[in-house]
Amino acid sequence: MDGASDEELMLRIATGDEPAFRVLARRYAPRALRLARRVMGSSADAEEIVQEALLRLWVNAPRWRPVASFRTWFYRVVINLCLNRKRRAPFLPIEEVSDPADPTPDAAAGMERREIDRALAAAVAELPERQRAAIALTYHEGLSNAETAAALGTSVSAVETLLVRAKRTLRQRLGPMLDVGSKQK
Amino acid sequence: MTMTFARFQHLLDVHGADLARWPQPQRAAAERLLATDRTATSALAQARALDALIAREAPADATGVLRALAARPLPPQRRRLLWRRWPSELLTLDFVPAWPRVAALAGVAALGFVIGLVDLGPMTVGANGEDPASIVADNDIGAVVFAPDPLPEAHP
Repeated sequence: MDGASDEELMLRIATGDEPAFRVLARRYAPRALRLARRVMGSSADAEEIVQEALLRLWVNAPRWRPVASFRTWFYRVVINLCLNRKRRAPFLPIEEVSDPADPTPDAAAGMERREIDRALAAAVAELPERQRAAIALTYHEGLSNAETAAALGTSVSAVETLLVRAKRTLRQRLGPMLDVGSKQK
Repeated sequence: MTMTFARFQHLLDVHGADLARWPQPQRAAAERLLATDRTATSALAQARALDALIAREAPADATGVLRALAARPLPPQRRRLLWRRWPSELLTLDFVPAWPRVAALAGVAALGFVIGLVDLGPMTVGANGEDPASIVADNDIGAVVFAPDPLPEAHP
Protein backbone atom coordinates (compact mmCIF):
# COMPACT_ATOMS: atom_id res chain seq x y z
CA MET A 1 0.00 0.00 0.00
CA ASP A 2 2.98 2.29 0.56
CA GLY A 3 3.42 2.54 -3.20
CA ALA A 4 -0.16 3.66 -3.86
CA SER A 5 -0.71 7.21 -5.08
CA ASP A 6 -2.23 9.83 -2.80
CA GLU A 7 -5.45 9.75 -4.78
CA GLU A 8 -5.73 5.96 -4.60
CA LEU A 9 -5.23 6.09 -0.85
CA MET A 10 -7.91 8.77 -0.54
CA LEU A 11 -10.40 6.60 -2.40
CA ARG A 12 -9.66 3.79 0.06
CA ILE A 13 -9.91 6.12 3.03
CA ALA A 14 -13.31 7.20 1.72
CA THR A 15 -14.49 3.65 2.31
CA GLY A 16 -13.24 3.72 5.91
CA ASP A 17 -9.86 2.05 5.26
CA GLU A 18 -7.87 3.00 8.37
CA PRO A 19 -4.50 1.49 7.32
CA ALA A 20 -4.66 3.59 4.13
CA PHE A 21 -5.19 6.65 6.33
CA ARG A 22 -2.12 5.77 8.42
CA VAL A 23 -0.01 5.47 5.26
CA LEU A 24 -1.15 8.85 3.95
CA ALA A 25 -0.69 10.44 7.37
CA ARG A 26 2.89 9.15 7.58
CA ARG A 27 3.51 10.49 4.09
CA TYR A 28 2.16 13.98 4.69
CA ALA A 29 2.62 14.72 8.38
CA PRO A 30 6.27 15.89 8.06
CA ARG A 31 5.50 18.12 5.06
CA ALA A 32 2.41 19.57 6.69
CA LEU A 33 4.31 20.14 9.91
CA ARG A 34 7.05 22.01 8.05
CA LEU A 35 4.50 24.14 6.26
CA ALA A 36 2.46 24.91 9.38
CA ARG A 37 5.59 25.73 11.34
CA ARG A 38 6.65 28.19 8.67
CA VAL A 39 3.29 29.91 8.67
CA MET A 40 2.62 29.78 12.41
CA GLY A 41 6.13 30.26 13.73
CA SER A 42 5.51 27.84 16.57
CA SER A 43 6.11 24.11 16.70
CA ALA A 44 3.40 23.47 19.28
CA ASP A 45 0.73 25.24 17.22
CA ALA A 46 1.97 23.56 14.07
CA GLU A 47 1.64 20.10 15.60
CA GLU A 48 -1.91 20.80 16.73
CA ILE A 49 -2.81 22.10 13.29
CA VAL A 50 -1.38 19.08 11.51
CA GLN A 51 -3.29 16.73 13.81
CA GLU A 52 -6.46 18.67 13.10
CA ALA A 53 -5.78 18.65 9.36
CA LEU A 54 -5.21 14.90 9.32
CA LEU A 55 -8.40 14.28 11.29
CA ARG A 56 -10.31 16.45 8.83
CA LEU A 57 -8.80 14.44 6.03
CA TRP A 58 -10.20 11.27 7.61
CA VAL A 59 -13.61 12.72 8.43
CA ASN A 60 -14.16 14.35 5.05
CA ALA A 61 -12.61 11.69 2.84
CA PRO A 62 -16.02 10.36 1.65
CA ARG A 63 -16.82 13.85 0.32
CA TRP A 64 -13.49 14.31 -1.42
CA ARG A 65 -13.61 14.20 -5.21
CA PRO A 66 -10.44 13.61 -7.24
CA VAL A 67 -10.92 16.73 -9.35
CA ALA A 68 -7.68 18.32 -8.11
CA SER A 69 -4.46 16.87 -6.78
CA PHE A 70 -4.65 15.62 -3.22
CA ARG A 71 -1.48 17.47 -2.26
CA THR A 72 -2.90 20.86 -3.23
CA TRP A 73 -6.17 20.12 -1.46
CA PHE A 74 -4.46 19.01 1.74
CA TYR A 75 -2.10 21.98 1.81
CA ARG A 76 -5.12 24.21 1.45
CA VAL A 77 -6.68 22.59 4.52
CA VAL A 78 -3.46 23.17 6.46
CA ILE A 79 -3.12 26.79 5.31
CA ASN A 80 -6.76 27.56 6.15
CA LEU A 81 -6.35 26.10 9.63
CA CYS A 82 -3.20 28.19 10.11
CA LEU A 83 -4.89 31.39 8.95
CA ASN A 84 -7.99 30.74 11.07
CA ARG A 85 -5.90 30.19 14.16
CA LYS A 86 -3.82 33.27 13.49
CA ARG A 87 -6.94 35.38 13.31
CA ARG A 88 -7.73 34.26 16.83
CA ALA A 89 -4.26 34.51 18.33
CA PRO A 90 -1.50 37.07 17.74
CA PHE A 91 1.60 35.94 15.93
CA LEU A 92 4.44 34.79 18.15
CA PRO A 93 7.95 35.05 16.75
CA ILE A 94 9.52 31.75 15.95
CA GLU A 95 11.22 30.50 19.07
CA GLU A 96 12.75 27.36 17.75
CA VAL A 97 12.86 27.70 14.02
CA SER A 98 15.65 25.95 12.27
CA ASP A 99 18.06 25.36 15.04
CA PRO A 100 19.27 22.00 13.85
CA ALA A 101 22.30 20.27 15.21
CA ASP A 102 25.24 21.69 13.33
CA PRO A 103 27.31 18.98 11.69
CA THR A 104 30.32 21.26 11.06
CA PRO A 105 33.17 20.71 13.49
CA ASP A 106 34.08 24.38 13.44
CA ALA A 107 32.24 26.01 16.33
CA ALA A 108 32.59 29.50 14.84
CA ALA A 109 31.06 28.35 11.59
CA GLY A 110 28.29 26.70 13.53
CA MET A 111 27.55 29.88 15.43
CA GLU A 112 27.52 31.90 12.25
CA ARG A 113 25.16 29.44 10.68
CA ARG A 114 22.80 29.60 13.63
CA GLU A 115 22.98 33.38 13.51
CA ILE A 116 21.95 33.34 9.86
CA ASP A 117 19.11 30.93 10.63
CA ARG A 118 17.83 33.20 13.38
CA ALA A 119 18.05 36.27 11.17
CA LEU A 120 16.16 34.44 8.42
CA ALA A 121 13.54 33.21 10.86
CA ALA A 122 13.06 36.73 12.22
CA ALA A 123 12.79 38.19 8.71
CA VAL A 124 10.29 35.54 7.64
CA ALA A 125 8.31 36.05 10.85
CA GLU A 126 7.77 39.69 9.92
CA LEU A 127 6.12 38.82 6.63
CA PRO A 128 2.32 38.82 6.44
CA GLU A 129 1.02 35.27 6.79
CA ARG A 130 -0.07 34.83 3.17
CA GLN A 131 3.37 35.89 1.97
CA ARG A 132 4.90 33.40 4.38
CA ALA A 133 2.57 30.70 3.09
CA ALA A 134 3.47 31.49 -0.53
CA ILE A 135 7.19 31.30 0.27
CA ALA A 136 6.77 28.04 2.21
CA LEU A 137 4.72 26.38 -0.53
CA THR A 138 7.02 27.35 -3.38
CA TYR A 139 10.40 26.96 -1.66
CA HIS A 140 9.87 24.17 0.83
CA GLU A 141 7.09 22.13 -0.71
CA GLY A 142 8.24 22.62 -4.29
CA LEU A 143 4.85 23.72 -5.62
CA SER A 144 4.62 25.67 -8.86
CA ASN A 145 3.05 29.11 -8.75
CA ALA A 146 -0.16 27.66 -10.19
CA GLU A 147 -0.30 24.93 -7.52
CA THR A 148 0.43 27.49 -4.84
CA ALA A 149 -2.46 29.57 -6.15
CA ALA A 150 -4.76 26.55 -5.88
CA ALA A 151 -3.56 25.80 -2.35
CA LEU A 152 -4.10 29.39 -1.27
CA GLY A 153 -7.41 29.67 -3.10
CA THR A 154 -6.27 32.61 -5.18
CA SER A 155 -5.01 33.48 -8.66
CA VAL A 156 -1.53 32.93 -10.08
CA SER A 157 -1.00 36.68 -10.46
CA ALA A 158 -1.90 37.17 -6.79
CA VAL A 159 0.67 34.54 -5.83
CA GLU A 160 3.27 36.31 -7.95
CA THR A 161 2.49 39.55 -6.15
CA LEU A 162 2.87 37.79 -2.78
CA LEU A 163 6.24 36.36 -3.82
CA VAL A 164 7.53 39.67 -5.18
CA ARG A 165 6.58 41.52 -2.00
CA ALA A 166 7.94 38.81 0.27
CA LYS A 167 11.28 38.68 -1.50
CA ARG A 168 11.59 42.43 -1.60
CA THR A 169 11.16 42.51 2.18
CA LEU A 170 13.56 39.63 2.72
CA ARG A 171 16.17 41.28 0.51
CA GLN A 172 15.95 44.43 2.58
CA ARG A 173 16.15 42.56 5.89
CA LEU A 174 18.87 40.12 4.89
CA GLY A 175 20.86 42.38 2.55
CA PRO A 176 24.33 42.04 4.15
CA MET A 177 24.05 38.25 4.32
CA LEU A 178 23.05 38.06 0.70
CA ASP A 179 26.06 40.10 -0.34
CA VAL A 180 28.31 37.72 1.60
CA GLY A 181 26.51 34.75 0.11
CA SER A 182 26.72 36.00 -3.45
CA LYS A 183 30.40 36.88 -3.10
CA GLN A 184 31.14 33.40 -1.74
CA LYS A 185 29.61 31.94 -4.86
CA MET B 1 12.41 40.98 -27.30
CA THR B 2 14.55 43.11 -24.99
CA MET B 3 14.20 43.01 -21.23
CA THR B 4 14.63 45.88 -18.81
CA PHE B 5 16.43 45.40 -15.52
CA ALA B 6 13.23 46.11 -13.58
CA ARG B 7 11.44 43.38 -15.50
CA PHE B 8 14.35 41.02 -14.89
CA GLN B 9 14.24 41.68 -11.15
CA HIS B 10 10.47 41.12 -11.11
CA LEU B 11 10.84 37.78 -12.88
CA LEU B 12 13.63 36.77 -10.49
CA ASP B 13 11.19 37.26 -7.63
CA VAL B 14 8.35 35.47 -9.40
CA HIS B 15 10.20 32.43 -10.78
CA GLY B 16 13.34 32.29 -8.62
CA ALA B 17 17.01 32.42 -9.57
CA ASP B 18 17.03 29.12 -11.43
CA LEU B 19 16.60 30.31 -15.00
CA ALA B 20 15.78 26.77 -16.13
CA ARG B 21 12.40 27.19 -14.40
CA TRP B 22 11.55 30.35 -16.30
CA PRO B 23 9.23 30.37 -19.30
CA GLN B 24 11.31 30.03 -22.47
CA PRO B 25 10.77 33.50 -24.06
CA GLN B 26 11.62 35.31 -20.82
CA ARG B 27 14.62 33.07 -20.24
CA ALA B 28 16.10 33.87 -23.64
CA ALA B 29 15.60 37.61 -23.08
CA ALA B 30 17.11 37.33 -19.59
CA GLU B 31 20.18 35.53 -20.92
CA ARG B 32 20.70 38.30 -23.45
CA LEU B 33 20.43 40.90 -20.68
CA LEU B 34 22.84 38.97 -18.46
CA ALA B 35 25.42 38.90 -21.25
CA THR B 36 25.60 42.70 -21.32
CA ASP B 37 24.41 44.06 -17.97
CA ARG B 38 26.61 43.68 -14.89
CA THR B 39 23.81 44.90 -12.61
CA ALA B 40 21.66 42.03 -13.81
CA THR B 41 24.47 39.57 -13.12
CA SER B 42 24.81 40.94 -9.61
CA ALA B 43 21.03 40.73 -9.05
CA LEU B 44 21.06 37.12 -10.20
CA ALA B 45 23.84 36.28 -7.71
CA GLN B 46 21.92 37.97 -4.93
CA ALA B 47 18.73 36.14 -5.89
CA ARG B 48 20.61 32.82 -5.81
CA ALA B 49 21.89 33.62 -2.34
CA LEU B 50 18.38 34.53 -1.19
CA ASP B 51 16.92 31.34 -2.67
CA ALA B 52 19.57 29.25 -0.94
CA LEU B 53 18.92 31.01 2.33
CA ILE B 54 15.16 30.60 2.17
CA ALA B 55 15.44 26.97 1.15
CA ARG B 56 17.40 26.10 4.30
CA GLU B 57 15.08 24.06 6.40
CA ALA B 58 15.43 21.98 9.51
CA PRO B 59 13.92 18.53 8.98
CA ALA B 60 10.44 18.23 10.43
CA ASP B 61 9.95 15.41 12.90
CA ALA B 62 6.30 14.41 12.85
CA THR B 63 6.65 11.48 15.25
CA GLY B 64 4.73 13.32 17.96
CA VAL B 65 1.81 14.06 15.64
CA LEU B 66 1.60 10.49 14.40
CA ARG B 67 1.84 9.10 17.92
CA ALA B 68 -0.94 11.40 19.10
CA LEU B 69 -3.12 10.31 16.18
CA ALA B 70 -2.48 6.64 16.85
CA ALA B 71 -3.39 7.04 20.52
CA ARG B 72 -6.96 8.16 19.88
CA PRO B 73 -9.81 6.50 18.06
CA LEU B 74 -10.65 8.09 14.74
CA PRO B 75 -13.95 10.01 14.67
CA PRO B 76 -16.79 8.79 12.45
CA GLN B 77 -16.52 9.85 8.83
CA ARG B 78 -18.92 12.41 7.45
CA ARG B 79 -20.96 11.04 4.61
CA ARG B 80 -23.41 13.02 2.57
CA LEU B 81 -27.08 12.15 2.85
CA LEU B 82 -28.49 10.48 -0.25
CA TRP B 83 -30.91 13.31 -0.99
CA ARG B 84 -28.04 15.80 -0.93
CA ARG B 85 -25.61 13.76 -2.97
CA TRP B 86 -27.94 12.56 -5.74
CA PRO B 87 -26.82 15.20 -8.27
CA SER B 88 -23.19 14.15 -7.93
CA GLU B 89 -24.18 10.48 -7.92
CA LEU B 90 -26.02 11.02 -11.19
CA LEU B 91 -22.99 12.74 -12.64
CA THR B 92 -20.85 9.74 -11.81
CA LEU B 93 -23.15 7.37 -13.71
CA ASP B 94 -21.85 6.45 -17.13
CA PHE B 95 -24.64 7.24 -19.53
CA VAL B 96 -22.49 7.35 -22.61
CA PRO B 97 -23.08 3.83 -23.97
CA ALA B 98 -26.86 4.26 -23.57
CA TRP B 99 -27.14 7.50 -25.56
CA PRO B 100 -27.13 5.94 -29.06
CA ARG B 101 -29.83 3.52 -28.06
CA VAL B 102 -31.94 6.22 -26.44
CA ALA B 103 -31.52 8.40 -29.53
CA ALA B 104 -32.44 5.53 -31.85
CA LEU B 105 -35.56 4.76 -29.82
CA ALA B 106 -36.61 8.41 -29.81
CA GLY B 107 -36.00 8.66 -33.57
CA VAL B 108 -38.09 5.59 -34.31
CA ALA B 109 -40.88 6.89 -32.10
CA ALA B 110 -40.83 10.27 -33.84
CA LEU B 111 -40.84 8.65 -37.28
CA GLY B 112 -43.78 6.47 -36.31
CA PHE B 113 -45.67 9.49 -35.07
CA VAL B 114 -45.08 11.42 -38.30
CA ILE B 115 -46.07 8.44 -40.44
CA GLY B 116 -49.21 8.04 -38.37
CA LEU B 117 -50.11 11.65 -39.00
CA VAL B 118 -49.45 12.01 -42.73
CA ASP B 119 -50.21 8.40 -43.78
CA LEU B 120 -47.74 7.69 -46.54
CA GLY B 121 -49.60 4.51 -47.59
CA PRO B 122 -50.57 3.97 -51.31
CA MET B 123 -53.56 6.00 -52.44
CA THR B 124 -55.24 3.45 -54.69
CA VAL B 125 -58.78 3.06 -55.89
CA GLY B 126 -60.81 0.74 -53.67
CA ALA B 127 -61.75 -2.78 -54.73
CA ASN B 128 -65.35 -1.66 -55.49
CA GLY B 129 -64.23 1.54 -57.19
CA GLU B 130 -64.81 3.79 -54.19
CA ASP B 131 -63.10 7.10 -53.90
CA PRO B 132 -59.88 6.49 -51.90
CA ALA B 133 -60.49 9.68 -50.00
CA SER B 134 -63.73 8.33 -48.64
CA ILE B 135 -62.04 5.08 -47.58
CA VAL B 136 -59.35 7.03 -45.81
CA ALA B 137 -61.89 9.36 -44.31
CA ASP B 138 -63.72 6.39 -42.89
CA ASN B 139 -60.62 4.68 -41.47
CA ASP B 140 -57.94 7.17 -40.69
CA ILE B 141 -58.13 10.14 -38.42
CA GLY B 142 -55.16 11.59 -40.28
CA ALA B 143 -57.33 11.99 -43.35
CA VAL B 144 -59.88 13.86 -41.30
CA VAL B 145 -57.23 16.31 -40.34
CA PHE B 146 -55.54 16.73 -43.71
CA ALA B 147 -58.38 16.16 -46.25
CA PRO B 148 -59.20 19.33 -48.22
CA ASP B 149 -62.78 19.32 -47.01
CA PRO B 150 -63.26 16.44 -44.61
CA LEU B 151 -66.71 17.37 -43.35
CA PRO B 152 -68.64 18.96 -46.25
CA GLU B 153 -71.98 18.22 -44.62
CA ALA B 154 -71.04 20.40 -41.72
CA HIS B 155 -71.23 23.51 -43.89
CA PRO B 156 -74.53 25.40 -43.90
